[in-house]
Amino acid sequence: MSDSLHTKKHAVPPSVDPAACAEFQKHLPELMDGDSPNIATDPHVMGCANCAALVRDLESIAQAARELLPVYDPSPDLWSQIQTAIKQEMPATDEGKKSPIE
Amino acid sequence: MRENTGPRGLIQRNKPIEGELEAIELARAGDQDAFAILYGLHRKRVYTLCLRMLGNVTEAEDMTQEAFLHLFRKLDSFRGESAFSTWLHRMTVNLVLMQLRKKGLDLISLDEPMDTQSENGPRRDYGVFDMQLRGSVDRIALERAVTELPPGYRIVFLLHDVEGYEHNEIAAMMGCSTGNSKSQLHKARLKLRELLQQPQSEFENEQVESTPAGQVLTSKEAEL
Repeated sequence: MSDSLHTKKHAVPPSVDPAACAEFQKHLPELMDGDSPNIATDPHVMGCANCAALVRDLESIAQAARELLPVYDPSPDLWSQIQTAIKQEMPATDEGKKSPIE
Repeated sequence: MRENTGPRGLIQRNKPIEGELEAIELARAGDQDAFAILYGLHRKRVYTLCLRMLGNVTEAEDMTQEAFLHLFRKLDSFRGESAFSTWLHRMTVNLVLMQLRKKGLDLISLDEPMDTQSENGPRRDYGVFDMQLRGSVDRIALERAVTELPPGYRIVFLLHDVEGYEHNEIAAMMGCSTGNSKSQLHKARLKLRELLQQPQSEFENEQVESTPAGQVLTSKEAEL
């Protein structure tokens, strides 16, 4: 990450305890797992804007990931390459099985 | 892998496809048109998975070819205990993981503690307020950011958050603990947050500098 981004960060207000944030975030992988209770009601999240924002962002990323559909298409030539490869290996396969690519 | 009801995009992807079962039966009997139908139905999903995991168009096409060759060889062993797409998908994941291991990529560092901050990993600084994402995450930006993840993070993120595998399934496939899978996923999301916070121009410059030619998903590709 660039230095310029870090310079945009703000000092944590005195009310936020960095040690408590570190301890909370240490357990975040487990807390964010699907089987865990609702993380929004965690006492630390409710009292810490920084960690609450972190959780929101991570949940947004996970949500967006679910919407990444299979959108890419291989080259149109790929199917003919697969047909050729199957023909080439036919003698090594079950001789009684007819090639689907005849 | 989740196949039942729920909000996941994955579930829509694993719904039975009209004509698929008939095509499977015919392809087993050697019907060339039926095998072509199976290719047509599943090529995008198999190829997209390979492309995202490998990050390289040429390797992704080679692996897609390998996956369909493997399908041709193993079609008789499909018992219908899971959706055909799930079966084919898992087979593809295993082939890609084998390929990555052959290349000597260290996909996951076993017993890696959560507070490890590797060079390419997410940075945590508890003494400052984090920059926050504004609004919802843009799909194209996320696609780009995923290509920037270190391989181990990328694979676990793709398998869990995109493809819907459970941690115990990922652990079994990758030969690690479920805790390790959770840890890698968390680091992947943290790293993505960092990448998504960067101004677009800075992000693109990093991609040009760090990614070999031919491995970047262009914005045009991502819009497809």
